[in-house]
Amino acid sequence: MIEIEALSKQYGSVLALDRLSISVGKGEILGLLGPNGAGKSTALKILSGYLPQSSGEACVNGLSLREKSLQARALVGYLPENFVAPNELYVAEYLRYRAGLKRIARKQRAAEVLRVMKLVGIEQRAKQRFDALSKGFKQRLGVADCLLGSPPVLILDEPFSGLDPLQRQDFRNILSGLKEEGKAIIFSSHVLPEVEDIADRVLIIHHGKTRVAADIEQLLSINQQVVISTHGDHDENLSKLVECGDELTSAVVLRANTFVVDIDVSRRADCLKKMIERGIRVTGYSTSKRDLEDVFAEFVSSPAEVD
Amino acid sequence: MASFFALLRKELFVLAVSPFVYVLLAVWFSLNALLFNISIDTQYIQADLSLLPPYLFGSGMLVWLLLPIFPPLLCLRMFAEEHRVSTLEPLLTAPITDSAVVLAKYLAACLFFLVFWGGLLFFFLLLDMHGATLDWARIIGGFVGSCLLSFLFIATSLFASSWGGNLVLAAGGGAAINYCMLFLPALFQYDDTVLGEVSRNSHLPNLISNGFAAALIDSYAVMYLVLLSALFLFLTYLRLVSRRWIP
Repeated sequence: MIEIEALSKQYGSVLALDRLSISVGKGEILGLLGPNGAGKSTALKILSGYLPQSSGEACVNGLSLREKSLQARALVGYLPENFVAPNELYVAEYLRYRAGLKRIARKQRAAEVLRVMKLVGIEQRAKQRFDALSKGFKQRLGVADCLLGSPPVLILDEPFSGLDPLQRQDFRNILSGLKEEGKAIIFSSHVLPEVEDIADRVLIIHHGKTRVAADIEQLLSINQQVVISTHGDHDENLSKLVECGDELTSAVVLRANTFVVDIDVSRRADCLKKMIERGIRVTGYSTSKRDLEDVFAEFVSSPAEVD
Repeated sequence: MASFFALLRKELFVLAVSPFVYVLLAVWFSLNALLFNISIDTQYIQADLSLLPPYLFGSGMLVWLLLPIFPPLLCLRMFAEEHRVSTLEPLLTAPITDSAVVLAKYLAACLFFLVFWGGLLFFFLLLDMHGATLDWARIIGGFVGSCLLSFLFIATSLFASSWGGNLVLAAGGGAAINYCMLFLPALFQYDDTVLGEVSRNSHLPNLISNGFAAALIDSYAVMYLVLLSALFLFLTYLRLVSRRWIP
């Protein structure tokens, strides 16, 4: 559904995006992560057809956003970072206007507006103006706008920003429902637990460059931390642990004879075997769950580029 | 076309419910009523009422001082305000062409400006109801000319409004272009050079008062105003598409 190939964007001398490549399929949710100024919004603006790329290609359903912008834009529902609607229009009037803009047949507009309002739960706010809505309902209106005409692709820039926990929960449910409908969704967010909950894959970018693009589960299992309890001489055990080399990326002493080690999850069994072969008397072995915040911090603080 | 008409309807609606537009209308009608009152109180106009349309529509203070200001204020919100409050991004990512965006906004402003000039026609209707003998060909001609001139000023104002989110720049820029178009030809119209010839042919109040308001619909004047409007609309379009074109 969404194909990005070596996408770059230059603002004067500043390289905001550097050869970004990713694809998102039907019924898939991609979380776009990165610190402020990483290039997330720039990437999403290019995908929405608002900005042109400096080089590379971005396609929606095989339609180039540069060459067939109008047709491609018809397939995309886009929620900008700071969604604002004209205050002169009521919620329902705004959605009717947007339905017209999206070329929905006049006779179907009222039904379509009602459908999206119900879907995001703003039908009770139909007669309110934008400024009278709470932040959560403003975001819902933005999402309702995206959903008009059932576009197969949704691009959401910071959809969770400013929402309270209950609103986030509602929003997560909405996104999960859209995923079930087979929409391809890309969203950026700073709220990492939300991303961890609903995204299938994440793309972490920093200074416009891809740091990592992987499935959430795969990402959380990379370099998993393991707490190992041992018996015997503490210093001897530590030196033997360090000798295990390749499988361990680090080892930290938690207390006497208890060590926290980072292990590549795919080589966990080999590592354990090696420890026993080296004479370490392992009495306890437990894995600690890493979350996306740990992974995010690790990738944006590390200078290395990971593909 | 569905997107075009949706945007046109929305722009007309937003203009119709905006308090700021009613303030503009109130100021416009008050000043026009004052000008009309002063005009019909003067002896030479009372002696020949056919002088009234050229004065109100062409060579009077209205065109020289007021008309260049009102279109920029009316068009302020069309791009500059939308840019400022970030409603331009959802519009330009919708499946509507940039040319349709420019034309829908232009047409909405033009249709709304007919209300401004329509009010002036009402003053003539009042005179007619009081038994004055009026030259309706001159009045209608003056009305058409003034509308065309206003449509040109709306095109320049849209262009200025498309520069960005600075409202002062949008209003000031539009008014500056309009005043330049009014005053620059007046400065050189008595020159014997080519510049003088060009200035005489592009002196806007003369085009209205000596042409339209004298019941003479000159194809040169019509084409001049229409083509100049088209040029500024094209510049607005270029300004908008440059965002997509320039990587």
